[in-house]
Amino acid sequence: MVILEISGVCFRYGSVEALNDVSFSIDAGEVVSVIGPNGSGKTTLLKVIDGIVKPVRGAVYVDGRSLGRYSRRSLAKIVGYVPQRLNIQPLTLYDFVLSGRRPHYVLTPTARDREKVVEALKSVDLLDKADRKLTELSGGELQRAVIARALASEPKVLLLDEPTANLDLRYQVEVLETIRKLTKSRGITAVMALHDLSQAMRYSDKVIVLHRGKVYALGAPEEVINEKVIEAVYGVRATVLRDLKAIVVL
Amino acid sequence: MPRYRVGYLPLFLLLTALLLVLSLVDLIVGPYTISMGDILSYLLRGPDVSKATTVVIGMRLRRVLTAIAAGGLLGTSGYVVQANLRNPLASPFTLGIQHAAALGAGVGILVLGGGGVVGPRSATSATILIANPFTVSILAFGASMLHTALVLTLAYVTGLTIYSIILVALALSFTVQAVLALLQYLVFNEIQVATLMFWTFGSVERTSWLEVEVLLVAYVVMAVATWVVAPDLDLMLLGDDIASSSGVNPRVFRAVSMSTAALATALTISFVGVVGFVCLVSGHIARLVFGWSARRSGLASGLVGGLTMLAADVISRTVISPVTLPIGITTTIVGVPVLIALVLGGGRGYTRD
Repeated sequence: MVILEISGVCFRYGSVEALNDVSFSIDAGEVVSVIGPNGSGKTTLLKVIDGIVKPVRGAVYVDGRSLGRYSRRSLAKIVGYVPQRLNIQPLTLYDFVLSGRRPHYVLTPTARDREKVVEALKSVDLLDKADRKLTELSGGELQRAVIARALASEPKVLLLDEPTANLDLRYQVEVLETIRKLTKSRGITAVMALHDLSQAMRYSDKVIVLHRGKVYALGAPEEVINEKVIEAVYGVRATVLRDLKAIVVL
Repeated sequence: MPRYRVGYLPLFLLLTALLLVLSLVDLIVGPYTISMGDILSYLLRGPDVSKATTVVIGMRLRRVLTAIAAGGLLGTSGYVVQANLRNPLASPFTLGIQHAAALGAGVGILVLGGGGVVGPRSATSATILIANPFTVSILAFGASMLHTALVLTLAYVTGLTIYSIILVALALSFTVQAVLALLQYLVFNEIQVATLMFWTFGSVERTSWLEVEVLLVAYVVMAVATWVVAPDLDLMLLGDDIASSSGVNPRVFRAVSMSTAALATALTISFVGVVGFVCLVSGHIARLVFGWSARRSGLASGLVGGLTMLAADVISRTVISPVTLPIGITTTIVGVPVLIALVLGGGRGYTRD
């Protein structure tokens, strides 16, 4: 079942073309990696899907409905967004995750909202740190906190912008495992922008390669991530060790 | 997590109790001593015109309520602007409202013959009188609202980002200051300059009962509104993208909440003069004591503002009694030590984990 459909999307920052006629569709429950060099349009694509910026042309359909037919709040209930960076404030972790429930309540959070916060914190193993301030968390904890915040609103689609950036090896694996576990256990669809091609190969069902705002290649990770594509898109010669699912730059 | 949620109610009660105690102190102290009995009979039996104390209590009660409402309005709107601009140094005064208000007041004093000096002219006993306080207030209010509208319109054209607001506000307030300086240099006589100076120092004694009522109603409305939008303020603090992805349009929210805060500030300073420090400091004190969640600290910033103004008023009237110091000066005396103490102890003593 298709949960996300992007059709002919174009976007510009002033005169700079960020996305040019991007089209693809994603099935429910898939983990999709969007890869491509800096400035290829990964972040913009995620922002377009979340309705943060409006495309100049083209349309985005979430769960069969065009974005234009969602109110900001009703879209927020379906699509969760984990930004690349955010302004860390000394909010407590609990209040931070609770802010992710905002689209679900009008005046004050209900018992169910609080339940979902606890559940989200549990799913990323941070429940014991609920009373900590965000500023007191480590990089890995913070990244998981942002994911918990997005999960708290029970999204069908989770958008993650470089969820492993700035993390050490252990946390990178930890965060990606968490994402994979969640998609399997809750049927969430995850779309993540990634820089690490080996990770994209290991953790995704589908890979979209963006190059200068266009979809350069799209398909199963083993097919899409190959020496030719890497050289064409990144201008780097590399070899793909298929049995190890690893990419080595030559 | 029940443990997490309790613990703040006692703090709120403590703050309210402090507010009541200080109100009583402000009613009692002064050149004319009032007893608790006088206050009780005033409150329970109503004003008795045959008693001398009635007049004094009435006058002081007006000050007390003005201080609570004005401090509350300034504290809350300062908090709202800080969250909106994600800047601890911001306040409605960042928009330059106070300069526009001063310009409005200046025009009022000049054109409508607002100012005058009464009594012998010496440093301690001369009384500068604003002859037409209502007109001056209205002009100050009008000028600040016009200024705010201009700032927000210009900022809107440039995308209503944090930087565009601050830059536009900076440019416009320098313009307003230049115009006021020009007026003072070319047109004002020394009495008018002194009157304007006196107006900007700030005072809680020039309000009429009607103005007190307006301020109190405005404070209640502002506090309720801030409580309602508190979750959105938290989102704005985290970033425009986060707010947007959680269902809040950051541009609309910023435009509406900033104009509301500006309206509240303009109203307050046109009645009591420029008391800027409360705006800046209340939010910080509230956040250090109550944490960063806007539900708690937004409400608390109003109470802290009222408390600061009240304490400042007590000091104003007692330090070199019978002369009353301008409250714009004494709020700083109260606020700075509290803030510094909290910053020094803040890391530990005021967090609850």
